Amino acid sequence: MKLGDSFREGLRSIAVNKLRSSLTMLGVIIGVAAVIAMVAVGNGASQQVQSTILSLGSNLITVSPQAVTQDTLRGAGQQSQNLTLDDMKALQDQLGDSIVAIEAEQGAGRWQLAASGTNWNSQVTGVTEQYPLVREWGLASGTFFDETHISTNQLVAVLGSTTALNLFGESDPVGQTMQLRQAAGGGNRARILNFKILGVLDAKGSTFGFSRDDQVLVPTTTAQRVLTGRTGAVNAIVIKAGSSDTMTETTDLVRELLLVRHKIEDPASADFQVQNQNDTLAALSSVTATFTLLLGSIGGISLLVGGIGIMNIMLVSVNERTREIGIRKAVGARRQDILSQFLIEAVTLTGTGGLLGIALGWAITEAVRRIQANVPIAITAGTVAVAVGVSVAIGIVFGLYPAMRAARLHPIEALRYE
Amino acid sequence: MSGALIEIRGIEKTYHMGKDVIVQALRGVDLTIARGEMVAVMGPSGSGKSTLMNVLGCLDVPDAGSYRLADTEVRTLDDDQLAAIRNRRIGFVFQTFNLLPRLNALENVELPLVYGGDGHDRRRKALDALQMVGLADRTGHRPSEMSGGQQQRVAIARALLNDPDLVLADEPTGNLDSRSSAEILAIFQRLNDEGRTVVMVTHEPDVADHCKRIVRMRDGVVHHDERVLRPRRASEELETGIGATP
Repeated sequence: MKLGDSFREGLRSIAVNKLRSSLTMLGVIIGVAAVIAMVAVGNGASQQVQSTILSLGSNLITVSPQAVTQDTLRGAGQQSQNLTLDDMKALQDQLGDSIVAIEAEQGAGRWQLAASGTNWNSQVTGVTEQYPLVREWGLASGTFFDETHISTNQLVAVLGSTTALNLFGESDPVGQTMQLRQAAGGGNRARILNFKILGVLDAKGSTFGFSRDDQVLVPTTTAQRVLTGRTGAVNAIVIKAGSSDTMTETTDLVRELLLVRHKIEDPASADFQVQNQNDTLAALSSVTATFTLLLGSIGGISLLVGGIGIMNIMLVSVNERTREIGIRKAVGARRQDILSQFLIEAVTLTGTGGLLGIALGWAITEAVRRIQANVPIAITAGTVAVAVGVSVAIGIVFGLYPAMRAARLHPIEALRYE
Repeated sequence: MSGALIEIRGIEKTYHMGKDVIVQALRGVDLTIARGEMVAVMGPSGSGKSTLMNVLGCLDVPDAGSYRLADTEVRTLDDDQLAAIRNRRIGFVFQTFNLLPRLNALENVELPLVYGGDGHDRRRKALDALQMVGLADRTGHRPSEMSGGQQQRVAIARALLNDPDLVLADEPTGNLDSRSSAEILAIFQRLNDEGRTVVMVTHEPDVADHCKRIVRMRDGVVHHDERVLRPRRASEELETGIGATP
């Protein structure tokens, strides 16, 4: 029997039982649509997480202070003074050209900002001159502060785009002056400091729901000596490695250099920790992969149920057409002819269901995209190929047993069947 | 090569119905049918005539004995080889017509060529066969849109499509009125006149009288085998309006 004849037969018998065929197909349609939509949402979520991480700058290695336990007395991690500006300078000297850039950060808390009669409240952070390089964050206007500003802890600032807009509206803030104010309280006197604005950062959007465009950057030394009084200590040293390949190497080197500098012999009792962005990415992508797998398996289960529906209906179909099988055998159909006829019928059912399922899955993801605009949703060619492959495979797997039953029928018994 | 188309020696066939019921349908049948014969197989229910037909048609394989069809020993063939013999060498005509209800007349006739033979030109061959049985104007009709006699003629056209050595008919007129029966018998006689071997099972003596030879079965063996000196001619009966059954 030629393939064309088999296909024609398959389509004919599907067309004869339209309602039954479409209900059977519905199982596969829902299954495939579920897999497509679920995996698309999962992939979208993982892409979002990845791009968020990478938007913080790529190839980053972060060193932060670590709480030290001495004789059961545990120090506070963030407040400890383990990491200093000198550490950063030492790392900068010793790592040299193997890294792209390095900077040290010190948070200075929230301050009330005032300029040209307007008020705004923002997070103030002390950073060093290579911050734009490390974070891959350019300036919309003006300049960033340089080493001189840092070594002489000057009162200069670079504004985030949101902050600039709120304080100065449409006018250019570069060269203007703003005030940082802190009310009296907690044993502190009320303070008012005048900062000169050097530049404004590019707009960058938000990370995990926090706007990164609403901030004020000042020299680390200014944050330390003028704003917080924590002389020398920094919250974090951020290094941009030469490339993704050298990250592990650089991470190890940073750890060794700091251990030597801090005179610590046992790495387990280090007073700092070094985090590698690749590791973070890997950890997060394994989480999102599990998430995607979970969503996919939910779809897979509905696909399996659809497959069982196919098998059920094919068994009914074989039973109903026992006499037809007998006639076909009497005029010379071989086992494989009968087998392929019913297999192709099953595969036509699931294949058509698969294609319709892809359309439905696409419609669902489109709908989700419209409702939940900030979730990027990705239907990949791979997902579609897998869905089609799986639905055809389901046709073969669940159609095989009924088809084999049909092929094995004895011609006489099949002809006598009422 | 001998002149015999069918050579059966000591064929036995036993059916197991359920656990304890054993039916010995054929108990050593010997039968030789030459090319060009037209044979009626008669016998009461349970005499084994249907089982013999199934064996002759390669639909069933005997438990013992030898069956040579056109010098091929059939008993040792596997399922696919039997299917090929059914396809190429044998044409079946059944009492209940056994057309596929979803296919139209032309597609039903084409069916043997779907499964083998020279598939080239199969539409034209099917049309020729339908023309031969006088149904060239019914090609697009489904079986449900045709009379019993027309359905049986479609079935005969189907049986002839692969130019078989042997046409086997199992009660071909059992479900037909006398006029349709005569038409069917006339077609069989014409085929036989053209040299084709026809074997039909029947329990109607009127039908058997149209054959050249009558084989009577009883209790699983050939009980009686006789030549019909002057077979009745269905075509003449149709002309004179007598009909197959007086």
